[in-house]
Amino acid sequence: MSKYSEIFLVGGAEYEELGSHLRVRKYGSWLAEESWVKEDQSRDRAQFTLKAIQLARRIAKEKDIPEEEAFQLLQGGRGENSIYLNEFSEETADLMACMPSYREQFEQLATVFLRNRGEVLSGKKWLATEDWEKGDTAKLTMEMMQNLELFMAKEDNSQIDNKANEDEDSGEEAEAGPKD
Amino acid sequence: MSTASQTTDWTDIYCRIAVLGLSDPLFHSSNFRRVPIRLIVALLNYQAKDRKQTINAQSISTAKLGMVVIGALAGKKAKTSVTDFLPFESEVDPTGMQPSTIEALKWALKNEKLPPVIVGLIGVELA
Repeated sequence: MSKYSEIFLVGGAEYEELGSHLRVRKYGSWLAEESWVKEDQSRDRAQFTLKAIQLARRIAKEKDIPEEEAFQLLQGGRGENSIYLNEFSEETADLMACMPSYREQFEQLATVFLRNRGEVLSGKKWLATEDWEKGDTAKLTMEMMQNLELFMAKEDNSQIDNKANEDEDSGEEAEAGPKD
Repeated sequence: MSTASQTTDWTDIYCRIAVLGLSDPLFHSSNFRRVPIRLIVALLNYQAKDRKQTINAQSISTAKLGMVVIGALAGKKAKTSVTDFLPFESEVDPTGMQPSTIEALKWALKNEKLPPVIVGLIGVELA
C-alpha cells in the first residue's frame, strides 16, 4: 500500500481502542467538522477574553485603578478594591455567564469525534456510532475520556507531522507567487 | 489553518475543492464535514500546483513570442529559454531531468567520475 492510498482513504482502516467495546477510526488528522467545532470554541474563548478586558478597562477607568488590578479582580482576586466589583455585579454576572467551560467544550468535541469516527461492538459486529449524542458522551468512563483526549492529541500531531513532511517534499512551491 | 486573529474560510475551501469535480461521495457537501484535514490540505496543494501549470501552459504562446523578440534583438547571444517568460517557475527542468539527477551529475562531473565522452555530451546542459 502506498502513502497515497492512505491519504485517499482507500487503505485498510486503523482504529484506536477507547475501551473494550468502543473504538475510533484513525485518519492521521482531524476531520473538517472537528476543526470547525474547535475553531468555534476558540472564538468563544477569545470573545470571552475580549469582554473581560473591556469590563476590566471600564472598572479601571471609573474607579481610577490600574487595568491589571481590575483584571485580577475579575479573575477572583481579593484585595482592598474588591468592593468595586459589587458596583459591577450585573456586568460581572453577564460576563461569567458566557464563560466557556473546559469540560463542556471537551464533551462537545468528544461527541463530534465519536459521531464521526466511533464504532461500538454489538455482539461480534462493530457498528458505526453516527447517531452519537452528547448524553452518550456523558456516560463514558473517565478512562475512556482520557484515552479519547490522548487520541485527539495524537491525531492533531499526526496532522502537524504530515504537514511538515508535505512542506519538505514540495518546498515552498505551493506558496510561491508568480515570477516578476 | 487559522490564527488567533483569522478564522478559516470553510466556504471558500469547500468551493475550491468542489470545482475540482471529484466524484467521490465523500466530497459531496453533506459529507464534507467528514473529510480529513490532511486530505483537504493535499487537495488544495494539488489545486494550486495544477492552476500554476494551467496558467503556465496558457502563457506558452506569449513566452515563445518573447523568445522571438529576444532572438531578434540579441541574436545568437541570447541565453534565455521559454520558461524564463512563464509567470510561474516550472517544476520540471527544461532538460527534462529531475533536480536530484542534475545535482548527482554535477557531483560526478566535479569529481571526474564520468567518461570524457559523456562529459562532452551533457556538459553544456549542466553548465
